[in-house]
Amino acid sequence: MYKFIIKRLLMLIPVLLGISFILYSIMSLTPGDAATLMLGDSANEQAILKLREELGLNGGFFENYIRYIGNIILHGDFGISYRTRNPVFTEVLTRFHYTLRLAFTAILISTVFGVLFGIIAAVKQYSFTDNFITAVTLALTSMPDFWLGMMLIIIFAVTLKLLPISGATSWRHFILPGLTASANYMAYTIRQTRSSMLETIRMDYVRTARAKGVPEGKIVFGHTLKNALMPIVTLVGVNMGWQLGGTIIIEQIFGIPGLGSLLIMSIRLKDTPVIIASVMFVATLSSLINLGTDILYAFIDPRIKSLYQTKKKAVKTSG
Amino acid sequence: MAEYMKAIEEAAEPKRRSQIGAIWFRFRKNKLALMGLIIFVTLGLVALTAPLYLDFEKDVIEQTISQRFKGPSAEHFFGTDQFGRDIFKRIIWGARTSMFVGMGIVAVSMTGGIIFGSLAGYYDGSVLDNVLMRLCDMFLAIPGTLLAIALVSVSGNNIPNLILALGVSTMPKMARLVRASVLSIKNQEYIEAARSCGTSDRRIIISEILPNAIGPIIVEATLSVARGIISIASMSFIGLGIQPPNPEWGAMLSEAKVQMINHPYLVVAPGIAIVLTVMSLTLIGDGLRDALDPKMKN
Repeated sequence: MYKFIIKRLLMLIPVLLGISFILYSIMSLTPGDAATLMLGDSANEQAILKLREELGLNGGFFENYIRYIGNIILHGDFGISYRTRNPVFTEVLTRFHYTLRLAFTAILISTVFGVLFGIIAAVKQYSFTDNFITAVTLALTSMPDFWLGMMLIIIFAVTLKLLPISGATSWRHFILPGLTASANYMAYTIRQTRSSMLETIRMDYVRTARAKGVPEGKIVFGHTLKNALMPIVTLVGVNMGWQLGGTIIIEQIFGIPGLGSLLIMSIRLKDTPVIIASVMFVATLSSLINLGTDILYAFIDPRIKSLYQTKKKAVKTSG
Repeated sequence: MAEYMKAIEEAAEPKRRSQIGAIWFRFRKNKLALMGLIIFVTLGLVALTAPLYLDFEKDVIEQTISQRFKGPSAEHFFGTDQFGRDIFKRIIWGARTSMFVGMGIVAVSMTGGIIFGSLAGYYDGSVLDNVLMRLCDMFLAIPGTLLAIALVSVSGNNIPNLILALGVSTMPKMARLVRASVLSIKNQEYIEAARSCGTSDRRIIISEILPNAIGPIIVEATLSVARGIISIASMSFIGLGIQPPNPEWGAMLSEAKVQMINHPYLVVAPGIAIVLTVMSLTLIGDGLRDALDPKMKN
């Protein structure tokens, strides 16, 4: 097990280096020079040259990149934002909690309602309710999230005046964006829950439970759901990674000053250090979450846990 | 009596179907998929023939200030926008852009995905495979929207660049799928037979493996067109995609966003156009999946 975790963590290093290189090359190809952008077109040449040196942009492409990566590895220094001149890391951290809150709201909504509707659909297979849920699922996956967001604003904020239109100052501000961001994954969760519930509900042990007169509620939640949980857990893990990086447009619509808004602004202003740092941040987090999901498997499913145990221990536990 | 004999003959020798015929036979039985196909073909025909009954200059982009913000009526089905342009006509013209770009994206990602994926899959475990797959990992770790935004901001946003940027950002996923598909086939007996006859690797990949691996690829391509239409709409929505005054559904929604509070009807129609198109493609994709691989259907 430890070997597996360490191997996965080591594999993260080349991936992160690769990401930084890809983004660094893309951004260095964009027209416009960071120093000129910061000082304005009218700035004198000497000031521009001086600033370029301060930012570590005075060498060739590879020289600059290696200096940049070197600073990160040796000093943990991600550079300063070209826009605000603050350290990039504080810039990212001050924005991140908004994205995290949005992601958690979305995951909570999509998992709770996704599993609930999935169970209902599976228990009442082929009924009107099941077909209705399937139709809603299809509609949810076919909607662009920004359109759903706008429709929710029109219905709940403009017409019914129940919730605020935009901003991020209270928990009520996160309901509509959370709903918007959850829609797609709620649909996936419903589908996944439905199909894995249907798979387990036909198992012999469920039939045995029925035969010995276990109440239906206990069969659904105790016998079936417990065994159908595996794929649902994976989905929550994947969802988490996606939510952290995929809510760029939703943040724009609802005026949430999170990482997504920061990224779009940074790309427009060619703020390369901020772009690379935030993407690396998100990529690291989602890889760690994926790893966490894999480890969680072991706790949910004893069959997988036994794979990671050494032979000696496995014999001991079985005997 | 003759009829009776014919029935016996038919029963004795079941109708032979070509492979495509058999797939179509199974596809046709799926009512939802058929509905999707009908919706998509209708939309496609409407979009293709648009120049016959609409004039781009006069109907689609000409601004008539006296006609602005007219709600839905018999004259303007979905009303008019802030420049007095008919939304219904703009949606029809927008279908041309959305569908063309959506298919373009898939063409790019499929070409790259098939080449890289089949090489990685056929030579699995080799250095080439490892390099390609680690590259995939890196690209997959960057959020797709973000990669597309970065690529477009480098190359400038015109339609070919948009197609290329969005195609490249979906390529890793396609390559992964092709690789998995190739891997599942490359150890079959008939590949071994081809190899023992001295067939070259290139020929084995092109004429033995790919035709047999194409099923999941086609399904993924259909679903990718749907996702492509959504991503081009998203790009236009944040102002990096199709530029005004050209009508594209996302660009129309982007313009409607400003007027959303006072004129909410502007938001509804372009969104429904997207939902309808994407949904029809999803239904076709799901139907194809079942039709191509009857074993997978439970």
